Amino acid sequence: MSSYTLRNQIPLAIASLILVIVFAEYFLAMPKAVSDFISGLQKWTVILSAFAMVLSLLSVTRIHVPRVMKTGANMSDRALSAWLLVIMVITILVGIGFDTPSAQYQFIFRNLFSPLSSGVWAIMAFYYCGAILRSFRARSLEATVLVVAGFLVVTRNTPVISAIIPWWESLGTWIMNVPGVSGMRGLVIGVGVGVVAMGIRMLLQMERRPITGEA
Amino acid sequence: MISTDVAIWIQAALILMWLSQLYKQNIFYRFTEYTFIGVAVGHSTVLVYKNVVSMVYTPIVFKADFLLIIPVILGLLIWTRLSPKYGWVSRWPMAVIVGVSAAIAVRGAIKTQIYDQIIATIQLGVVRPDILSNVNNFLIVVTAICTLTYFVYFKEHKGALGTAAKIGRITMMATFGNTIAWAFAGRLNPLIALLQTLLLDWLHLR
Amino acid sequence: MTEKSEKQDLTTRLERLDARYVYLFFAALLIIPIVVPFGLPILVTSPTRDFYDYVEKNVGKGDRVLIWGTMTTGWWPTEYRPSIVAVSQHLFNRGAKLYYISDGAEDPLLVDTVFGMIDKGPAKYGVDYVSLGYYAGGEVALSAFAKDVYSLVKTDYYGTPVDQLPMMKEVKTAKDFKFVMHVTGSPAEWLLRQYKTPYGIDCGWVGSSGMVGIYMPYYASRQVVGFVCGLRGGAEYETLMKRPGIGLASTDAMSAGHLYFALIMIFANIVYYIGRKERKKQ
Repeated sequence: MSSYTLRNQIPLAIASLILVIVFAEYFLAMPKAVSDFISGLQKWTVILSAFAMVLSLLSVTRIHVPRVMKTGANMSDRALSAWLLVIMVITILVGIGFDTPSAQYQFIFRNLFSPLSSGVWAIMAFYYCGAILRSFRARSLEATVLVVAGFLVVTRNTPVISAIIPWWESLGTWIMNVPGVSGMRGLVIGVGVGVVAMGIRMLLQMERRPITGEA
Repeated sequence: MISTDVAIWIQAALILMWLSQLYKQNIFYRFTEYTFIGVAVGHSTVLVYKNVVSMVYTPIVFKADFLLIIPVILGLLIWTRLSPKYGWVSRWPMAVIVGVSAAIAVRGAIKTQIYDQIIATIQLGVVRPDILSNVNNFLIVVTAICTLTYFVYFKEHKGALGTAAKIGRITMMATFGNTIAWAFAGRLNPLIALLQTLLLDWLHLR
Repeated sequence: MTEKSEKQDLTTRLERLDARYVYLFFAALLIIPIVVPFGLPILVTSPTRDFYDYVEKNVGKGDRVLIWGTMTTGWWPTEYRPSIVAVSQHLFNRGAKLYYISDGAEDPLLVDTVFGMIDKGPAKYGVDYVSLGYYAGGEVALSAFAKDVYSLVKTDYYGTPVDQLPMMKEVKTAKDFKFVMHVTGSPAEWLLRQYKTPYGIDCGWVGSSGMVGIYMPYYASRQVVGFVCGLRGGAEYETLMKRPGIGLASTDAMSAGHLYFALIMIFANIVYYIGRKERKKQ
């Protein structure tokens, strides 16, 4: 069996075959054995996805362990990488040793992970304001529509304005219910057609990138 | 009176270090960044361990479900992705994941995202007693069709098609304005949570 | 320096204003309503009202409700928590049986928090509510659970085998649920593709604010009963429940933040137009 067959053709054929079976089972009456096989396949996919999550651990270890070991490198980089590995190992040991519902694990999750996770999104609120100041300008017809629609919806979400001008909220609500729905509906239908087209391409093994990484 | 709870002090310190990046990139911000990555990766590993124990280890060891050895082997093969020489081996288990994921997405998308949305648009053509509803429904139908014409790439956007595509583009701008407004809300609310932790839980200002 | 070039300098300087001033004023404006809340009421919008009405009129004692989570911890405190606490409380008040499960790694710990924040009354764990833990795979996990619950779930989040939990004996597939709720800031279509379309089960979303635009066409076409989104949605649901909580306590700060954002939009465009006029004259 050639290297090309092993590396490309067989994986594409596996994906194509599985796609056909799982897709057909939805629309056609199939024997129970086939239905059970597909249930099993879905369970296997969940298990495989769990194994794929471990790639993050392996990847982080692969990057940061050499960085810590590298003599002559920047001390702060080495220290930070060492800290990352230490806190990661502590989290894993506490999680496996005490289990996740335990007070010890909850302490790590609530006091280290939770505020920083909120911080990732919170910082974007500031950057949004900076970006709006620089780029949200009504330079053309389309840009004007974008700015006006954004302005009306933002002010609709401001209860203090609704308290002062009660009818103002209906303008933003109109943007949400009419152009918001119609534009998004067009996009949803377009995405749906795209999903189906992608499925057909994968079935015909024309779409290789998700599996082989090639165009 | 400032909080005496160690946990709140840890949260406050991390939040302030994180927010310090707004002034300038600094070592304190990088420390919180590395802390976040470490805990996040550790947490996902712990949850995966629990998953594997309940879905694989227990059935194999205690219920003799040896068929599950196959996904275990395939799962281990996924890890070869990190090897430049043997990375191609991970394509086999990836093929299973991609095949199943694509099939369940496509089979649901046909009705959910295409058929039901088209039917809902057609149903808006029914005349109602309320004039405002009729006007709004007419606008939704026309602009939804125009939005779809914007994505017609096999014909040049000229004449009637060009006009429809332009209306579609303007409609999408209104949609994106709406999206930006709500996306901002999605970032503002976590910021409110952080400030509440600092001002109320830590500094006890209220 | 002439008056004209002074004006241009001002507009150019304002156009190139250091973003750190913007951040500082933003933070200062948010601090005031957090420390000194005004207590402004909010209007309840139709997606939240429809969701509430559905639960009030259609979910009763013993009805099984599946709550599937794809949450992010970062959005938990003010995007998900107000909504899911209020909705869970409503469902408990209605006597429904709640099944919590997730494909987000962080969700099971967040669900634990929900249990601690609501008045469960006489409801017992394993009989009236259960946390089934985390399963990787996203939409595949949703689909696998819908097709055959036991193919996926062997134990609950705390390690108890499911055959020791009385309420788990009542469910085998998605058809055994009256209502399915997806708590998510991610793909909207998963829920509809895997529960509504194949099984015809009533569905609803509890989502982050950023999902509102994406949910609207599905809500308009009645594919979902309604949705409760973000801090505002949580505050609206608390208003309907007449049970003020974190949502209503934070609406003043939300108001201030949005007002600042709107003012920046106006300011940016005024400065741009003045600057453009000056540049045209040049």
